Amino acid sequence: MKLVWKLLRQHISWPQFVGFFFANLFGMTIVLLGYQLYCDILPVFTANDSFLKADYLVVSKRIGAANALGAQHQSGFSKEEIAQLQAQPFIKGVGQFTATAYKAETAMGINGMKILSSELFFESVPNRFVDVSLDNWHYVAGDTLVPVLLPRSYIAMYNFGFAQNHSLPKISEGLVGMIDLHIVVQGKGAQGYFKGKVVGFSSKLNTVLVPQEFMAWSNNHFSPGNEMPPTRLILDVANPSDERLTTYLDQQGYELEDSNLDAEKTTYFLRLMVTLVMGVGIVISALSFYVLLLSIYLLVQKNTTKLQNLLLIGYSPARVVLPYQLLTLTLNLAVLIASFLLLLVMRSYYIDIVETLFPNLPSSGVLSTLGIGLALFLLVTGINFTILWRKIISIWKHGKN
Amino acid sequence: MFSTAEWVNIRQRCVSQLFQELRLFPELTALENVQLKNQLTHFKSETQIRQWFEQLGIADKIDARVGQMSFGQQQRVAALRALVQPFDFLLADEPISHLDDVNAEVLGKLMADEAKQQGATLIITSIGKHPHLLYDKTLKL
Repeated sequence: MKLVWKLLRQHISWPQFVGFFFANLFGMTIVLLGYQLYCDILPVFTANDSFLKADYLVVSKRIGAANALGAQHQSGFSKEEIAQLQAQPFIKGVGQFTATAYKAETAMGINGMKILSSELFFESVPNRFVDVSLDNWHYVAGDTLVPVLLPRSYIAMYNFGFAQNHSLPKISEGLVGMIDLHIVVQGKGAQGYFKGKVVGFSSKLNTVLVPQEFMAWSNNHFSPGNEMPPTRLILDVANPSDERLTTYLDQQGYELEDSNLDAEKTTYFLRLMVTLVMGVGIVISALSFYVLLLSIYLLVQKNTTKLQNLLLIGYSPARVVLPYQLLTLTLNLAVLIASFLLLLVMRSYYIDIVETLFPNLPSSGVLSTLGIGLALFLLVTGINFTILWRKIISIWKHGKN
Repeated sequence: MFSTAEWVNIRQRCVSQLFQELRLFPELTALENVQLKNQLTHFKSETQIRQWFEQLGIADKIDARVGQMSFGQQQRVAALRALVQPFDFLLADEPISHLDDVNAEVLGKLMADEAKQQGATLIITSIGKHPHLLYDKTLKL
């Protein structure tokens, strides 16, 4: 075998092969990276918020100069406005955000260490808009334990701001138990102490959410008779990207509070970008693979006489084509391994950031990308082998021609 | 029609050819050229091969690249290559066209002895010069 290899390697230009290796590496890495990026980042935009379902939108009234200067009673939604919204064909249902009518001093801590203490206000929505199991989201009048939902921005702020600087543990969905909430309510003639149990985070909220039952009871208990028109509504829509919806909201001067629509645009853009990148990668891969194929073909061509002689003295076609097949196999395998390693290195740079920003993101891992790499490798090697075999057989059958 | 595998078998074990144009590999040494053939069946030992090189007077060229040898020397190498396999037929196409008389006789006897030992048939073509052997049949075309 060594002699055959010694014979056939004469025409190989090693610098050329190194060039092919890098070209293929470049192409393959781009393809893998594009796919991996897509897998890692897409959930940021499409992962359904676990507590407020995707098709619910939050609207508020646009803040105009008049409102900002203190005419508070006009800044809520009147009953007529709500009824009008309800009547729209593209809106399936409307719920109100009810706000606390009393003062609530809230101290938030992580694992015993106090992080912030402030006068917060809470909000609630009808239970049907909240996607938490009833076990976790119910309140009996008089209980001191209140389930709450926190805005995701609080957690991002904590993770990026506090946790990193004070070497505190970062919070994710599974670690909500670490958060302590102590609430002191001061109302007309009554005081109450409550402990908040964080049930989860929502990217649709920017206030603390409590169960409707608690809101109704506490408002009545601490601040009776203080009905205010709701400043925010939650809409159940059939299709969040419906144009009529945006037109209607614009007309009425309502503002959409959540980033869902933006996220859709971003998702579309992300998809487009990744498709482009992967497309380019595939083209580069295909081209470099083709060039490699041509060069091996040329190598076989240059050696046609030798190959024919080998066949004539009794070597089988399989034995004769083997060195070339091993050559391509080794090259392709080296490209696969190298590009995968490169991918891991590059991924380690951006994955930290993604995980800190979005700790609950479903982790996609690299296995599916490896699968794609393997599939590409097998395809390319298979085609190489077939073409090599055909060439040898044609030499076997027709001699040099 | 023979299949590929059958042809391979024929070339390895049944029919040995010494080509007029030799079809050696100039990049390899004389010994390597013979070994390239021998390793298919391991029919002859290296000792035997070296002995043959001695007999034919090319022992000093055994590690020389074939491309650097004269045609006569190459012819002897090609002949040896044809002998390192089992065969029922040995086809020698103008085997001594470039050899001097002494070497021609040695080679002729070598081929005949091998054929006899294997119970095989030796077929030689020539356009003038041929080894002086006891041929069973001569055909003039």
